Amino acid sequence: MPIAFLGLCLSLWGCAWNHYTEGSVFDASDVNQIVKGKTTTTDLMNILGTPYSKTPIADGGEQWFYFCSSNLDTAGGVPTLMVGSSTKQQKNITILVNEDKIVMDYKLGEGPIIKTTEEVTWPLGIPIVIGTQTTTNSKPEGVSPKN
Amino acid sequence: MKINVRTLKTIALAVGLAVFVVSCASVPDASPEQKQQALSFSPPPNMAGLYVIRPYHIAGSAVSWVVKLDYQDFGSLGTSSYLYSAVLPGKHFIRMGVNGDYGMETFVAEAGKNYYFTMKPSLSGHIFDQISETEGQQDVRDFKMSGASSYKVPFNP
Repeated sequence: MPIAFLGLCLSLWGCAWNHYTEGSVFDASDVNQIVKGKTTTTDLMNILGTPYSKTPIADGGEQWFYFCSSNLDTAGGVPTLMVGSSTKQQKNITILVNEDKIVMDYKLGEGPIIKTTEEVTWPLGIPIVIGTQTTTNSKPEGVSPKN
Repeated sequence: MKINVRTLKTIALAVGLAVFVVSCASVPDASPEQKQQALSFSPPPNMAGLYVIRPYHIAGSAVSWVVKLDYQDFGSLGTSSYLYSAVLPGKHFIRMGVNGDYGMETFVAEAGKNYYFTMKPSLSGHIFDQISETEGQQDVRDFKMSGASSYKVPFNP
């Protein structure tokens, strides 16, 4: 009987995952294309896309801000135990352009990795949900890249 | 012929179920001005045009599909409908789903050009297909323009 139950559990075991992004998707190769004093705002639109925000700054320049949120959702389990988790990390880039629309400076930032886990069990037919959230710091926001 | 209450209930349930199964998601119509702009196939100066088209497909037809462009909602689509907006030149990210979690496509728009994407249900996450100007214009002429859009061009080029 226990073997049959185990077999049933294994046959009903399943899992699913979904990886998706929000905002502008950029990586190191994109950021490496940005050259201070040379890259124009037109180049930025082709490399990173439309910014999330543009803020006027002193001397007629602007601050362009981009972010990308990377999400991974997973869920799986067997009868009587289900586990779901969601991992999220955000990175951003802040770019200063002058009045001639040339990049003067930029800063990369990486937010913490936030992992949320939820377990659902039915020991006596009553669902019990246990949720946890952990935060792992990666890099502090606003770290200047090496030039 | 005698029909009792139970039979009537069964018929009502069957009719209700049939209506539920065959019903399609619908979206409001765009305004005549928006349609005129879309059907001109000429983006405004220094801008590009983006058409996202949802052809009829039985799978998922009861549900509206949410389309996102970059950081904003681009709009919602029922079957046999399309969304249109002028977009800034440069790189863009189109996604499907409220969180953009059902697939993404990237394209780089050039000023003065139109871009046509169709959407189809897929388990692989490959939702968008870029199609030719000829096919795109034909679909746009045949389908309804969705008015369920709040997209605004973020700034002037």
